[in-house]
Amino acid sequence: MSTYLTTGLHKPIGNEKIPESMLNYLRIRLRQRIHSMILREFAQSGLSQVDLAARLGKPPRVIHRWLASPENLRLSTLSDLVFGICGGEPSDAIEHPLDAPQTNRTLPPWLADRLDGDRLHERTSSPAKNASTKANADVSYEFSAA
Amino acid sequence: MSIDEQIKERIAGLHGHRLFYLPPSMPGDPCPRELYVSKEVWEAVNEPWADNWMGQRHKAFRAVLDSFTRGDWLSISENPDNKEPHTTVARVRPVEDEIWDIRCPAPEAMIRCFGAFGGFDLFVCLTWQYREDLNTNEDWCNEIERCKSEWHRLFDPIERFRGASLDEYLSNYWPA
Repeated sequence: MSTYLTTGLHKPIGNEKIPESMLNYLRIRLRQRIHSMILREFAQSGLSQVDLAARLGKPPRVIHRWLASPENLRLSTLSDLVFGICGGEPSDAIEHPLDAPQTNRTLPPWLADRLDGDRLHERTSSPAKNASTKANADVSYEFSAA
Repeated sequence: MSIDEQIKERIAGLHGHRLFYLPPSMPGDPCPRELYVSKEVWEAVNEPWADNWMGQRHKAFRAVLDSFTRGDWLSISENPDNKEPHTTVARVRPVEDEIWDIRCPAPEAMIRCFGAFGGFDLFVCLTWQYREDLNTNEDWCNEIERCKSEWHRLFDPIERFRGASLDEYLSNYWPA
């Protein structure tokens, strides 16, 4: 059994085997993104499930299942769905999300403001309590950046 | 102060030791929704799992949670008695308790994560369980009670957020 630890995502390196768990993350991610694209297009189309079922010649329960679940769709099903919904086709673009700059490793503004405010309050009120609060705040930033 | 403001106030107090902000794993993904997780859930999605079946399940679980924070369109069911089996977010019985689960139904994951909304596009994940360990009604009731207990432990006496319609819980959703 492999003992490779799945500590994070990284790009393929040389001829090193890519951990199966990382491949699995990317498979599920793609499935979720495709499902999101289908739901977005369907919502924007104004179609009903019955309309779409009629267009594709499928029972409404099949259309409902495709819309409700991020399934591992066949490419032919994906093509049918997207064309049936909006007359379009899925893009053939390839993205490189691991090359993107780290833009999401900061806390939401409301939370960062409150934590900063708490630390300021603690610093000006109780030196003893300040130590533990600061430790907690440091941990939080450390976790958010993990 | 509104319930969602009270919940945010408490999250700020618990953040970093009992609750943790969980941004998407991919460095450039946007995060229009907010997910806060208990230590239990944090460990389930961040532990250095071995690259075996278990590690794959937990990575798949993380991918679904990341889909939530990334703002993806999601299927959601508010009625536990009339829902598509594989919907992504679903409220569990009894609905008045406002416990929801984020579901990872893919065969590669089969994990359920229980928690509650803390406001619009803000979810607090408190407990999780492998789907195969939720077989009987008693299993489900125990898991939901465990989630409610965890909420009480962290948020008491603040009630869980209750929206008038799905529009008050989530952006980009499709009611399944």
